[in-house]
Amino acid sequence: MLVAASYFFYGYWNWRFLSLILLSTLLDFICGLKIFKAASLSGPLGEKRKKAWLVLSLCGNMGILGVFKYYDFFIGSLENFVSLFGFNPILFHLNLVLPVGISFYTFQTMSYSLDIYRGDMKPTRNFVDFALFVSFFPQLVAGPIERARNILPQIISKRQFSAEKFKEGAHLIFWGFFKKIYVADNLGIFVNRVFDASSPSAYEIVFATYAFAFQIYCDFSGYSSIARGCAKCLGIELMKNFNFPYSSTDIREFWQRWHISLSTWLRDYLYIPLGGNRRGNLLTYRNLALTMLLCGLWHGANWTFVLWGAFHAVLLLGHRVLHLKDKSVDKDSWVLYRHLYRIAGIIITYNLVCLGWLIFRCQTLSQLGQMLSTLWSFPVAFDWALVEPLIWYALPMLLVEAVFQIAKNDYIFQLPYLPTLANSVAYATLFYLLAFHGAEAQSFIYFQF
Amino acid sequence: MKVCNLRKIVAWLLWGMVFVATLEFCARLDDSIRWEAPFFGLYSNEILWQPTAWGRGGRPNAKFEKWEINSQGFRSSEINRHKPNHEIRVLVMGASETFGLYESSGHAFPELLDKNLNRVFPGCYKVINTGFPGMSLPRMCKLFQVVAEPLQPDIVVVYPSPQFYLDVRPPAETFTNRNSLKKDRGNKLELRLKRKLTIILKRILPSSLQTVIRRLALEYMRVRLGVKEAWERPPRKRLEAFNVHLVRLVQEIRAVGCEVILATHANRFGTDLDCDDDFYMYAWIVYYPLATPGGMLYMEASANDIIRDVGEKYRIPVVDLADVVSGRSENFADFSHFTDQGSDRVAKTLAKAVVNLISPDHTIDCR
Repeated sequence: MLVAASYFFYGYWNWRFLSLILLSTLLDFICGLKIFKAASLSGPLGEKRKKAWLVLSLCGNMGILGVFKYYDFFIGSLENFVSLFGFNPILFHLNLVLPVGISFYTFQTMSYSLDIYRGDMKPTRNFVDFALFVSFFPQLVAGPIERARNILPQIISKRQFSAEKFKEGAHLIFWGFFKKIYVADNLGIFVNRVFDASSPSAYEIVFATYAFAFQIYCDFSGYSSIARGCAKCLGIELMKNFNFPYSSTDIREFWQRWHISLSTWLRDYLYIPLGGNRRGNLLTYRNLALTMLLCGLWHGANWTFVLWGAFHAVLLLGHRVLHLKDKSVDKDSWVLYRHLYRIAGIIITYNLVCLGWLIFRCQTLSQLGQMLSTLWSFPVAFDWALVEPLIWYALPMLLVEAVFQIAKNDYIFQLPYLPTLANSVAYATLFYLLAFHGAEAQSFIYFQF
Repeated sequence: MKVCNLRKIVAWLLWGMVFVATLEFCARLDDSIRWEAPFFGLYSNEILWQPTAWGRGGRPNAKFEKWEINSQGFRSSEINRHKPNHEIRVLVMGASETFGLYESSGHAFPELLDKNLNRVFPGCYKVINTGFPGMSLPRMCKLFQVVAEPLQPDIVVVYPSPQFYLDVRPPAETFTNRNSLKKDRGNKLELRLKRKLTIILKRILPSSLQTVIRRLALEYMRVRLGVKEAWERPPRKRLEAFNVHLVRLVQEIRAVGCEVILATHANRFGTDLDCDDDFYMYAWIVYYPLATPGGMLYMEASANDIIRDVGEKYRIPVVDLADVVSGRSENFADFSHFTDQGSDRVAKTLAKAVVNLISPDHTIDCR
């Protein structure tokens, strides 16, 4: 039933791409079984076969991703590069439509084969269960990128439904919609106006970038909340994809809180297999840089995304080189000093992340160059109206997230020590803002990845 | 066990009551911040109106959301009691399309007409919007009798709405002021949330579902009214009434020495209905259960022919708005009310006609 619903959901957008998801599912289902079978054989033959099936799975998935997402980008880049030397080659372009969610489900199916290869899990023999793991509709098009070892056992076992779970799921869906429609879409109007303008002022760029930081966070985490909520109502627990990322005190912590399912995927299946931080400083830096560059490229076939990945690689390397963690304030320090240190860390990290978002949001490298040069010419008259979108749209969200952090729970809006009726007031206020001040619905930003 | 259940029910009820009370509080606070509305007391479009000699008229200095009434009771900028010699006054008469419903503030077509005329001839023209929702031709006639002397118009632009002649009770030849206003509700407690929720519901409900609901409502009304067969062609009497009322209004205006400009009535649909038009057509026709969609369009076309004939007969310029803006969805926010774009087109078209009729003396600086 859920598989049929998931396929209908995906096919509703474009039924032709159902074949693609089916191909990816079949490939990894077979490869998973074969890898497991090969693993049971002893000796080098078993190892060889195991590797061969894994390579087939990886090549298949990367092939799909490469053809649909990156082929035209690299061919176009090659053409541009060659034209620098006076040649004008006409190479074959595919001009394919990018299937929604392709980066998410290919990474998800790859993790399945990799986990079996590493002996972390056993394959399922039930194709329908596996098809549901790949296509489970709440998280199919924009994540979280789930692991088979988390989802498959839940799919196989009898699902438990309860009023409590339904309530928590409904809360997550509501909160997701609030973040998406009230915060992200409203901020998007301001952000688009500035980034589409021919020559925005420095202050406009600064505040539009701040706004974009909240827009992309609420857009993506809003979707993740809706996905988690829907899954919860259906008796399946999805992983938490965001954990208040803008409260991070350093860039390393930011990546532990932002798009957790992708960052842990890259850590487990790329950074650590490359050697992680176990093979000396230079190789650690290389692994880190490679991981972040690929992280950037995962987000889209555009050099701005690669540059964004490189920028974060530099930040992480800088953080590592300066040993900021070791220099952090110790627990015996004066309380006020500790708090000030933490606040300073949050402000600096947020601003560095925002600089990254500026790179991310620009359509082209030339637009980025133009905006960065405008930023240097800072002193123009300040317009307080630029702060208004942040106050009206980002502030309420931050206040609610602060409540979640205090309560150490994002399943329900409940402040400790306050009566239950207080959450009625909170829900009503949020509902009012969502219903009467929500913007016209826009597509989710992460659908394009 | 029973006590426990009762407690739960009471707790949920209490939770719901607090929820609704908070929503109402938010609605009032929102109105106060956005529109400077009073936190307590009545705040609905009813505060814009008061009974007048011509039926429902504007309440002086009333303000509701984007709609503002001036001290003389019109949706217009303030009008100087003593008309300057050089000023050419243009009175625009019509129903809700003239008053302006969906246009952003300052974009109802009479206001744009004023801006267009004064852009070319600064300070020479004064356009007064005397449109009110539901203004039929006899009501316009009555209004003109009352305001002709104090406002001293030079030109009157008439933009009549023919659909009133499809009403169960069509406009009578002479307007008699029945109780055209709902009873003054004073400061009676009213949920502001109700109106806001209705708007949201209209926005989020699928258009096909809304059309089904309207069709059912229409059928229900037809049954209640005992309508066996809705009009594919409105009765001749109705069209004749429109003709007679229009001629009377024209004569009334001309009797005081004013020039008249007639404008044909424009709508979203043009001459034919597409299947996509159902949503807006049923939103319109639900107010006129006696007619079918085809009958509605027939009435529009016939009334516009009458307007053209009257123009020809009395040598009055006719601005064919039906030809200029009808049938183009970008001009209409619903079946017949304009968007900013539609309003702009109407204003530009009318401005040409006004200038052709009376243009200011070039030797005088009106400012």
